[in-house]
Amino acid sequence: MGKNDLQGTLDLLVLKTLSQTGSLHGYGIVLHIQRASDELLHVEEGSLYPALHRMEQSGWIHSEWASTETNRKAKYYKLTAAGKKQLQEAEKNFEQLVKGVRAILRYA
Amino acid sequence: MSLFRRVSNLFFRAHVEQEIDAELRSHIEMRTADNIAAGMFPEEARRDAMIRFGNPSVMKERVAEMDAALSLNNIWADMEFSLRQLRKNPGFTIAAILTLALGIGASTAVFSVVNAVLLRPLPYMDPDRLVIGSMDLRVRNVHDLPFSSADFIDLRNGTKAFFQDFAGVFTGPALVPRGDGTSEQIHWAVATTNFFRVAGARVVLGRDFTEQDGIPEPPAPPPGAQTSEAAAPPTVAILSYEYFQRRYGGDANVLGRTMRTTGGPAMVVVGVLPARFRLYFPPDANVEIAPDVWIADRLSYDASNRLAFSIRPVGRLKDGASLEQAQAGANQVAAEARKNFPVQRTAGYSIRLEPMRQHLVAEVRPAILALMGSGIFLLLIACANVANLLLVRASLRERELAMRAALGAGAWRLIRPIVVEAFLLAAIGTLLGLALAWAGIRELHALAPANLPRLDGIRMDAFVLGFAALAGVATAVIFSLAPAWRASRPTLINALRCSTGTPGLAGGRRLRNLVVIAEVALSFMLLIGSGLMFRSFLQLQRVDPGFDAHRLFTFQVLGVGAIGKTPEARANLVDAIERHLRAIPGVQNVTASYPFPLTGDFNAIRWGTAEALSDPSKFQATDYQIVLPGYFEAMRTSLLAGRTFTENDNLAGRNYVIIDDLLAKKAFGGESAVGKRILIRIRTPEPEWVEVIGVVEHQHTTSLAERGREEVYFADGFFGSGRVRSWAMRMAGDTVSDDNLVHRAIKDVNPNLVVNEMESGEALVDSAEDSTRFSLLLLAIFAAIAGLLAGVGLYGVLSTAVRQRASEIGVRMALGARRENIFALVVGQGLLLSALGITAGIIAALVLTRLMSNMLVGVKPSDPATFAGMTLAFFIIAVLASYLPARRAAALDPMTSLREQ
Repeated sequence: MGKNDLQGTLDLLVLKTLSQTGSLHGYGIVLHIQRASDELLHVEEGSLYPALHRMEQSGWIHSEWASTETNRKAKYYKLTAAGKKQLQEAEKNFEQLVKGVRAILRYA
Repeated sequence: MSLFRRVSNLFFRAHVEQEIDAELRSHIEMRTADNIAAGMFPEEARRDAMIRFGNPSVMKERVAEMDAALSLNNIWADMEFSLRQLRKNPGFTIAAILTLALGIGASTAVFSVVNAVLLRPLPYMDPDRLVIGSMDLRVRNVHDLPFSSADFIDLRNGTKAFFQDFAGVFTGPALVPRGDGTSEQIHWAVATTNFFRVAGARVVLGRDFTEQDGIPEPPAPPPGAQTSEAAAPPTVAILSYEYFQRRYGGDANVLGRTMRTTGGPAMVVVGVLPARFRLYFPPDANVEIAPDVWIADRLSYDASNRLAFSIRPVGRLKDGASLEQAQAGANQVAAEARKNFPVQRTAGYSIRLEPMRQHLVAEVRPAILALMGSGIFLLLIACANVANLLLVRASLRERELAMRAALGAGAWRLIRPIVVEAFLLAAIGTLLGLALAWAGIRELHALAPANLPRLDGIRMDAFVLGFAALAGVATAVIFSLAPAWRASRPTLINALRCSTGTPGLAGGRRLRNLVVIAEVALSFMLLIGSGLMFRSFLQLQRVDPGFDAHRLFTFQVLGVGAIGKTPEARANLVDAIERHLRAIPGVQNVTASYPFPLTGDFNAIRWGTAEALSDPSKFQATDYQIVLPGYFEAMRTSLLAGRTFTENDNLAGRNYVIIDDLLAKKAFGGESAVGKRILIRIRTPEPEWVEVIGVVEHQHTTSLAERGREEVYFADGFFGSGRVRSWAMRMAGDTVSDDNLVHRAIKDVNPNLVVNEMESGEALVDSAEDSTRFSLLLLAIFAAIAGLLAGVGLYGVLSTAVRQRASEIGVRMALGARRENIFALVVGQGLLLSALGITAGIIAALVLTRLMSNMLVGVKPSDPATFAGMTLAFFIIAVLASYLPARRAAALDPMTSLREQ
């Protein structure tokens, strides 16, 4: 249960996003999550960057400076092998969380 | 890559921050561009992008915080920052480092003594199983005596259930002929044949003793050099490695060879011991620490001679046997002896078993622990002082800290620079302290009293270094605690609301006062301790040893007993020595004695009055001394009644004695002792009558601190001449005795005589004061440093207070307070703080000084004069420490201090 907190959820969103898009900068991650969730989820910039740096220190993701399509310098993040494992773990935890929450909601 | 980045982050923090900046900026720019594309005005678009990040500096701080590598980097940066800070405040830095170095240096130096004497295991196999037996004669108040052969064997047989084995040993001097017709003095040890197996030492060359070597000869050998050369089986000897090298140049052919002694038995050398094999007994046990030759003891059960104490028993406990069980067994042996022998009964014979190391250090342990405690006090005082310095500085930076806290810095980020600075100071202080300790240890070797065992082991080893490191870390933690606690909870509103430059000063005041009170209390205790030692020392100086040590010169002459085979020959030898010594220019008197006062030796006999004839339990014990006629005149010991010995009294068959006033009082009460007779038992098993011809003033023979036991004096002729061994010469005017002249004079008498232990009488008295002087010196140094530190601490607190209350003082003056009032205000605060500290110190000292009662001479641990005197002394320190801040306060210009508001 300990891992099923909100921070874990943000990590899951970021890791999943990176696994789907391959490589993306922070702003791109914000946009992707917004778009992919049909505008339901908004990631706050204030939480995103500390999370990115924390995950990088944990070795889950890896960053590199590169140019965007509009020829701007941006820092791109990419999943590492450890990050892929962490993503599977986080997905499993999330499924359980959803199952658990749903069970409680259905309980009458 | 990641590892590389972590490492590179460490060194390029600025670069990392730039990178975070760039990343966030690129995000904002992309968002702004999208916003514009979505139709916003550029200004609005940028604003929207920025607002999503909230406070940019907080944001940056939080991102940076995420980088684990960066926190390492921060410590590095804090260290740089601290170093810069320390360089910028050289006064503060030097004061803090010196204070810490003193504290750490002093406590480390003392710890080296604790380590060498109390902690380091003895160099024997499994030394914790070794037990020393000592004999106490409780009624006579004599302790730690060795055993007679019969008592030793009884002890060994009576405790077989608890000991693997029980060995015995005693030592003495002997003379060995050199090739050139002169003699060399060596130390021998007589040991039971199992001694080395009990100690766990292996003979490196040749063989160990066997049971065969210890089979008793028909007549029991009296100790040492005086043994007659009649015994049939050879005496078997093992050499110390050092003597084997020195005398025989390490030639293995010495095995099986016969070694001759001057006038003593010849010995067959069978083995060589490992290097540095030592015999560790307390120095006052008169056991030679490094005997040159070890002789197998042909120990026999000599029941008739239970008063010939010589053997020191060393036992090895069986696995599973406890000391308590062994002691119970020994108690039974002692009880049996008390039942069977009246002498043992009246003397209160008992046996005490102690672990060897405990036995070795029993006498010095309290003093060492007291000194260690003082060293730690000093360390704590040093911590308090540095803590206060840091507090004052932290309070000056309180606004900055509050500001940073408001900007989102966590508590740890605020504390960290303080902790880093503390460790930096402690590290430098420790290094300097180690240098001080190193110098201190060298001094300790010179100063340490002779009764400190294993003195040569005092050195800087891994344990001592470890202690210093630990002390350094502990001090850093202790003195950074208070400032860190302050820094972790800055009160933002208060700090920012204040408009003056030093807003936080008021806040830390109570904490600083508490620290200074603790400091005063600790240093006051040290002052009390040193005061008590000082009083003891004065008391010792005032003790009249019963003889005049001034211009007295003493030494031993060995070999008279070995060379002179008959009483006449020995008397002639003694006579010749006396004549030759008297011929030395500047010599006024010559005399000899055995034992000699304050050399640590004593001998005891039993005496009684007429009633003891019918009731042997009425016999009591007294110490005795054998002297030449003229002894009391030469020593300048007052004759109280009767007369002293003449040459005529020194002839064989004269049964005259002289007694001291203590014995006279005990034997005859108020009556005159002169002409009366007492019974003694020494030459014969049966008591004999001797006549008292004089009463002299009591001499301190065993210790200056204690009055000691009664004394009876015999003339040398009473025991067949030649027993006197310690010679004393009184020099005239300002002539100094020349060692070479003494040596030549003695050589002229007989080349085989050996002179040693040359010492002035003053040195004898001095060495009797050694341990008191040592403790006094160390405590006084500690107390002086402590007093100084406490004074500085008090000064620091008061001058900060004056600075912080400048405006208040200005208002007071504006309202009519006079300079004297302001002066009194500040001094009053200093005195109040001191009074609180001293009160706490007095209470603690009353408890703690009781622990040092056996170091004190003629002074009670709660000596009112010392307490009063030290209180006064401390108030003088307090006034001195308050004077400067008070003068500064009184000199404040009210206009200026008010305008500064």
